[in-house]
Amino acid sequence: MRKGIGQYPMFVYGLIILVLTLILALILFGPRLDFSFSPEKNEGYGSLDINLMNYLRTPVIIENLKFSMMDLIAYSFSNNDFTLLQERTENIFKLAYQDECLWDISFELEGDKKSFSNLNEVNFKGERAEFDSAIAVIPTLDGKAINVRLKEIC
Amino acid sequence: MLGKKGSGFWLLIYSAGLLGVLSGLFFLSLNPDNEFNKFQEIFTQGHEEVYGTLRNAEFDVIKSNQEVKYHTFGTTNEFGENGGYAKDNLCDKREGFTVLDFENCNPDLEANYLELFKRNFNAPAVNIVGSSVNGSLGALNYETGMENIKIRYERDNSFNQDTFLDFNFLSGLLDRIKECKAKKQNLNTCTAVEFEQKGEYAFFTIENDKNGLMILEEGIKIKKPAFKFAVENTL
Repeated sequence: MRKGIGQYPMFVYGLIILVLTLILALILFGPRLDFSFSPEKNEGYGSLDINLMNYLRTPVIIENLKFSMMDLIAYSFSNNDFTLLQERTENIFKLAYQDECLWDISFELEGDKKSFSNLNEVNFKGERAEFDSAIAVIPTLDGKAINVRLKEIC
Repeated sequence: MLGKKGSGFWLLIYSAGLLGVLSGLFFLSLNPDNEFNKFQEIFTQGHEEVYGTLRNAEFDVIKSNQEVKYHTFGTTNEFGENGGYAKDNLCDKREGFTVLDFENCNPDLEANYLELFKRNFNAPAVNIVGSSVNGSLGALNYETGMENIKIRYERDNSFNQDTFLDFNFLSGLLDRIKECKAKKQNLNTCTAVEFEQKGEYAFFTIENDKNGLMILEEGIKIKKPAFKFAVENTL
């Protein structure tokens, strides 16, 4: 055998092992390389929380006078009339999400629950199947607490 | 590379070495006691706790400010409906309006408002700046404990709530009326503010047309903030 010919099988073996090693490393470490340190879903302070805060603080006109959505929620429960709340809520979220997300908002006062959503109106084509949610507690005039929960899939 | 002597051997050694090193790293990454894994877990937990705490604080402040707002609604309503006094004031009344005589019934508007505001409301430091009532309800404290990270967060629970009353204008109006009466001038021309004359009394209603009050009076009621009072006007 000529000198150097024996190098070729070693080179081929080495190349095969290198390629296998890299493929193995990619498979094993690939999913673990996401060192983003980002909070898990629902655990942190995300855009959904900000959306809910903005929604609650949105100005609204009731009987020609300026209030906020928080006032309208309390007002609607006191009057047991949710027509204006539903109308304003749909307007706000239509503007915010522009038919790109599914949203659902619910209000609960001492077991009495109302909710509005666009689930039946939007043909959602997103991939995620789970809703993210944000929760706030707002007071009524007589000191009771209304739980507000906003859910979305985008 | 192919042309170099021993290159195949060194590639084999390199590949085998790389496989060994990466295998070792992989088994290290599976070990929960590994320092890097611990750090990553702690850092992620800390990150979540910090943001969770900030989120809770923000929503608590929103709720607290809303409670202040509802208390202000009640205060502004009682104050405005009773000419700058509490509803159980001892001033003369005409047609439901408190009569200001500028002697026994001569309200110090800001002081009276603050006194009414502080009633049934535990706010240690409250003052009026312009048409707003400012104050603090103390501090909101949050403490979350984990094995390796402790988070303490303190947030001042202060508020700045519009009373929907223009104290400067109202004080100025009362001063002008007092002056007009002292000079025995006609209130119509002297104050330049519309009022309703009934009998010997002028009835003033100064309304805020933009913002609303939400009041519990036999159910929930929406009304304009208004400052109402009557003064004797015999001219």
